[in-house]
Amino acid sequence: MWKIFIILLVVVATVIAATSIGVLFRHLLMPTVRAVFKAIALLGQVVLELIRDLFAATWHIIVSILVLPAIIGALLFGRWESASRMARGLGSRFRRVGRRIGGLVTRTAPAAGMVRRTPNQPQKRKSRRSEGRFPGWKLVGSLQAGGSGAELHIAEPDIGAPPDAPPRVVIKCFDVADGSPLGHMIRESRALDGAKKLGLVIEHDHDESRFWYVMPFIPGVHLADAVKSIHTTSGPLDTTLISNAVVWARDLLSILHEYHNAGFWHKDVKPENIIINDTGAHLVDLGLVTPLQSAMTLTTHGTEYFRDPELVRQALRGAKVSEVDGARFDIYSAGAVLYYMVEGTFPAHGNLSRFDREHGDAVRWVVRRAMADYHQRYANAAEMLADVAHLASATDPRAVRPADLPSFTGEPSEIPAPPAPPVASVGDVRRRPNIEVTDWWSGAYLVRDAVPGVPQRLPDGFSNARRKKSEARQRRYEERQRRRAVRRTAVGGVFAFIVGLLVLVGTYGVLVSTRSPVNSQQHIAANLPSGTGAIVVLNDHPHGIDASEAVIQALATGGWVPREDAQLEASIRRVMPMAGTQSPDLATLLAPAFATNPNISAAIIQSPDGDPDGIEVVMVRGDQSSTHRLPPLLTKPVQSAP
Amino acid sequence: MHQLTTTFVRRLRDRDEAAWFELWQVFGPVLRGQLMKWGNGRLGMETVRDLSQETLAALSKSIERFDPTRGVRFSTWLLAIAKHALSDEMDRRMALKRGAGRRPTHLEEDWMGGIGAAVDTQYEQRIFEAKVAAAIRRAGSSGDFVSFEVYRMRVFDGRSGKDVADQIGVSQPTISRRLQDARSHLRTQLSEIVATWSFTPEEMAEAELAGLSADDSLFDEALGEIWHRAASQDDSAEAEH
Repeated sequence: MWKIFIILLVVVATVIAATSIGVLFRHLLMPTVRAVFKAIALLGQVVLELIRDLFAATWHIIVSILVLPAIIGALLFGRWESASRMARGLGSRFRRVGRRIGGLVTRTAPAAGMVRRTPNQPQKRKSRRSEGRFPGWKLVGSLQAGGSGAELHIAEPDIGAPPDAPPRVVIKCFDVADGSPLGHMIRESRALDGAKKLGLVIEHDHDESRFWYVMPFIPGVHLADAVKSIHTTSGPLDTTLISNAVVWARDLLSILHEYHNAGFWHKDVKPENIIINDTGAHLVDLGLVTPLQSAMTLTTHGTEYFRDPELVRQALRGAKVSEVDGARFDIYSAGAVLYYMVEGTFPAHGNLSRFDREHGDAVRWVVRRAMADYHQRYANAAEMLADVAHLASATDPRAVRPADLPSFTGEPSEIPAPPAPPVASVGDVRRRPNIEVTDWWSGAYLVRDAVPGVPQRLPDGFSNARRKKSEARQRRYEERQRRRAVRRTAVGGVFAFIVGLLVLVGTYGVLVSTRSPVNSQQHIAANLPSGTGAIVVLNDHPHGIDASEAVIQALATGGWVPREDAQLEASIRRVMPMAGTQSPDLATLLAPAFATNPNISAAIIQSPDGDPDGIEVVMVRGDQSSTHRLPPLLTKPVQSAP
Repeated sequence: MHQLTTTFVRRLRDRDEAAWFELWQVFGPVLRGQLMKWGNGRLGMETVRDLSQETLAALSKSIERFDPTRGVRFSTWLLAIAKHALSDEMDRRMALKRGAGRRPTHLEEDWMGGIGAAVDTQYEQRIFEAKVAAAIRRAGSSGDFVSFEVYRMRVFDGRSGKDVADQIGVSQPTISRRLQDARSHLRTQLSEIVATWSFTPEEMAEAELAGLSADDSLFDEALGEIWHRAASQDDSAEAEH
């Protein structure tokens, strides 16, 4: 029982010691060392700065002394301007000297160096409450800012909002204090009138430093994300996915057709500006919307790969917007977007971009026609829309021939209306993701409802791709978890091994330290009777097990006075039976030996009957004897006593 | 030297932005590819773009001093400027690592008079392919759309005349006629581009050596091969991006 207790004690001590060392190292030793080094570095910096200040102040004083005669000379010769200029310079130097000396006096605190190194930071703006920032609207969330640097807020109508306002809107706000460039603000403000006509902007306003406008909020996913999910694997695309791409292209062209009819062009048609949801594709971001008949000079704004090179050429030539047909540039971009949807990559070579997937000749034809030379592409969005609508209505767009397209046959076709903007619900706002930690040990977590704006149900093909992607993600997650579990098990195993090793070593140490010819004096003492008087101890163990010292000590503990009496011992041994032989009446046998020493007792160590490795002590006093069995504690034989 | 070449160089010297844009379109991809190759994985795509723009900026400063009559390839000269821009960038990085500033070095142009300037064969091959690709692009944009599409389907996509006729909805003789029109237009554009960008007799002879002066079938075969090679190289560069 006591052994188990010692082992447990060693285990607990080992664990506590290991933990304490770790905690001390992590939370006490390392921070202390770090703090000491930091303090030394800071002190050194302060000293260096003081020295620098001292030298600089001295230098300024020397220069000032040298300049003073020159000023006096200039005054004497009537060169007032030079004297004034030098005097100003001298004043400036004296001010610097003052600052240096002030620095010597005041900047002795360690923080001085840090204060000095800190550049002039703009004042931290006071946090503004959401209420009242945009009269008539209550902010409920925010979106990631785009390239213009404007803030994008999600808001709901409040008191003072227009009566026909949608339940949820996006407010795009440019703030000079936030570093919004004035050019962006002016450019966007120009487009507002046209955007209002199209119903894309609900209202706009400004104050001393801000300008903002309110747009309907369109929940959904970016086309770029949708396309990425479609093109997760190489090889031919599913017919449904091609159909979806064509349908989205049709929606996009319907919107562009409306823009152009209203006298505007979007100028920044690209996947990031297209939102996909249950109702179709929606074009957002009015940052570059331009009147087709604008008298402004054409600029090269737009996004590479989706911007017509001809636009760049014309802009470099210095052409006015009214001198070109901006609608054709939008058509080029629409073709590039269609290419991006079906190929999953950027059209790096314009209309000569290579098609690596099988989509049918008609889809390729439409893309190439849209991205063809400025004069050869579709003349307007309606023409391209007719072709795309024809593809969208086909059961399998791959089966459609270029010769069947309306632009080829010349047949008039009906222009489909653009998709209606969806009504946003409360759950559409993008909020901070809801994270649930699943494993505190490994830090693994799950994001629940990461993007609430993403619709749960999308067109079939996309849903399939999305589901596959989700499954693949789940598989990857599970695989990661499995690997983590294996790693954790391995680490735990190593830890357990080390602890076990420590336990074994500790136990071994305990055993070795407590090991003696006869283990534990207390045990022996407990088995031997106490008494008084002299006693002679004889070792008569047949296997030479020497427990004499332990027995002597135990007897001494019990009150006996061990004594060495060679004559008595010799007389006892003469009458004792042969070693290993038991005698039923040892007291009688030894009586002659004790005749001359009646006050002395004897303790004879021998082996019990039938147990040659055991130990027993026969106590003889006078004519009485008693046998006391000792526990079998000895593990190795020792040289027997003579 | 061809009249087109001297005219184009004059346009560049006159800061004609359209000419510079054309130059950028033709040589930009090759330049970026070469810089990527030199960078050997140490340069990001953004750095490569910056360097290629710096190369063109350096070119615009020194275009006045370029003498086409010395018989040096324009592309080789461009390569030397790009190499200088790259070494400048590397020196700047090293200086930044040491914590010291470094002023940009001046472009050494004495080598331009040297006839034996080393020619990187692979690079020059890519330059030639870029010229051919530029000619195809120009033919695609300036010629008839349908004819060029027919040529593309027949030559670049390797479709049969019957298949193309079926897709376009016309007869096979019409396809043959449109094919001939597109080919003829391509030959014209190719000769113009090659003439514009060739500064040495060797460059002028490159098209002939590549089989682009041969009869129709050989011309189509050579053009298709060059086009696919150039497109795949550009695609791999984009993929790296």
